[in-house]
Amino acid sequence: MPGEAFQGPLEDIGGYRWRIPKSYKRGMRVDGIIYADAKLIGEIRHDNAPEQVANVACLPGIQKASYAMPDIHWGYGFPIGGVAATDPAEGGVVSPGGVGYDINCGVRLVRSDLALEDVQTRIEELLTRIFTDVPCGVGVGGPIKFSPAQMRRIVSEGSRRMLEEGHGWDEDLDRTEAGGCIEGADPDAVSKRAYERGNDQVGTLGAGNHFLEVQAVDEVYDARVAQAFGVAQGTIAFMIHCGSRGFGHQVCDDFLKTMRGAARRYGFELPDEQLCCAPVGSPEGQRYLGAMRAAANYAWANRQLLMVLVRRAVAAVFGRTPEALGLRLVYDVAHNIAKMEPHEVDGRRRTLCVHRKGATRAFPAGHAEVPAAYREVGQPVLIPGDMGRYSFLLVGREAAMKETFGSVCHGAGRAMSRHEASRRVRGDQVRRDLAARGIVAMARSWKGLAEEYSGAYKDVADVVAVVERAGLAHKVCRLRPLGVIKG
Amino acid sequence: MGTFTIFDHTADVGLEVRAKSLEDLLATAARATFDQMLEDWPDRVDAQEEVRVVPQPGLAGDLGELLVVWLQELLYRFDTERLVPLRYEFLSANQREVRADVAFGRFEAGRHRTRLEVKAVTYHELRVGREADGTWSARFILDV
Repeated sequence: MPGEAFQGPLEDIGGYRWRIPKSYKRGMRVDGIIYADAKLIGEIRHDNAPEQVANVACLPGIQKASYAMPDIHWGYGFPIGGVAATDPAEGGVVSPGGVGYDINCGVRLVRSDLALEDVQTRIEELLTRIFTDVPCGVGVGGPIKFSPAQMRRIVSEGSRRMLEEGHGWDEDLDRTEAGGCIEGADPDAVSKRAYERGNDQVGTLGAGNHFLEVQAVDEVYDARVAQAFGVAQGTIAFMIHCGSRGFGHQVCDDFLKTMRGAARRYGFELPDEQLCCAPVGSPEGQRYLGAMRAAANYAWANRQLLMVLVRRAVAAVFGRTPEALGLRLVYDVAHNIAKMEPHEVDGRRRTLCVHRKGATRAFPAGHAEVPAAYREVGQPVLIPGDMGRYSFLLVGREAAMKETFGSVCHGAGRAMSRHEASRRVRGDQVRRDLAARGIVAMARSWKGLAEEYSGAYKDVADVVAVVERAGLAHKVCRLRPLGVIKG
Repeated sequence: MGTFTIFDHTADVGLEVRAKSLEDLLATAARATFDQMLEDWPDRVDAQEEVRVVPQPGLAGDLGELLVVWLQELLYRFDTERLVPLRYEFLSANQREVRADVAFGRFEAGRHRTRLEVKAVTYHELRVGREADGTWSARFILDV
């Protein structure tokens, strides 16, 4: 339970790493490893999330360790901020809980040639235009309602489908994880309900912690890498955080039911029902992976269309084309996903099922999956913070590949429940406080805005400092919000 | 109508519901769930529909599963038809099925103020049962 501090062992093994030995709990197959500093580990212990790290260590076929990033917090089944890789050759499983309801929730960053001074005086106008043009909030549909046939193509082809419908540029695909489409999506494994829920939600932001921000690059830590990514001090960028909407939620719902039955049939003893799973190679496992990939592709199509709506809105305000404004995609990363990836374990190369539940892929320089334009420096890693402070752009490093299956943190992590946040602040007060700091906020729900206030989150700078010091990723630049849109 | 309270969950919303019967529990759980999504409720009935849910095969008798599929059904109707459940007349409510005539109001973006988007009802620490004093209780977490 959250609120009941973790009483188990957390051994400081140095290098910002804390271990939960596998002797802690019956059923643990590997250790738990949490990346944190002394300050963060206190908060993490208080949240009891280490118990969930230990639970994940019980999954059949798990390799090396159940990892948790410094932004870890209490989830359901898996902790948010967890990484677990299983080996199908050793009975490894895939678990819908290790991906979450918002399959391929992720982040996209668009750079621009706009300077801070071009935007600062017009931020209200710019944000109003984006807020008008980008559908957001509870129960708000998208600009296009897709037919069943179109939906099947979207979930099979992801971002590519959007391009073929005229939404985006060729280079966008190269700058999206997996090219914006995981092969192996199975549109037939997706229920009719998922299609019904998703058919008018492509190009919608939704609500909750999803957002769209206009940001200024306010500090560059590595000029060489920043230049490779096309970002420069004092310029404007746009960050989008969103996922697979009702389509992905339904896929997860459907397969949790399947997997609850499957886990019993395969005789898995799991400490939490929400960890239900099936062997990767089993019919249930394969069907889930096919449906999950379809939802992941849906999410990439969604973020692609959202980005195009933003490009058009910005172009309309400044009276120039998106090309002339240099509104190029820097990168798009997934942070709720399971992928089959080759990794080295005990000196042997194996294909593992890597679950990233609130964790970001962070591949180093030279990796074949890093776009050619960035291959010399590494994969861009997007770490959103909270709406009142800052977000970070990092780059993947070799240590992440060696230790965490090429994964790092995904955000600030909540420090306070929504309920507690709404007890402390009101939406209009949050908006005024942000305005006093030069940040314009627009939201469909002021209550929702209050629950997302800055103080409800850990300081993302602390989180990023840990992954940097642990050698998993390297800081490239910091992005400060000028305008925030919430659903 | 029963009562509900919110309990703290770091990123999501936990709900605890108490009611005098299983029917009341299901209605109150729905009320509590939609209360997280909406600030303003539709004030008129736009549709009257029968809603029937059954637990998936192999989970008959599991009251937690019954509660989850009930709420999932109502969330699905909201997502696809923008329908908000307002009143219920239960035709049957037991471990094998729930059947109810539900009066729905239609949500209109721009007219009704909203709050959170409920992605799903989770199975995490899900509990449904009857207390020693005969009242029904449920505890569940919404992914938002």
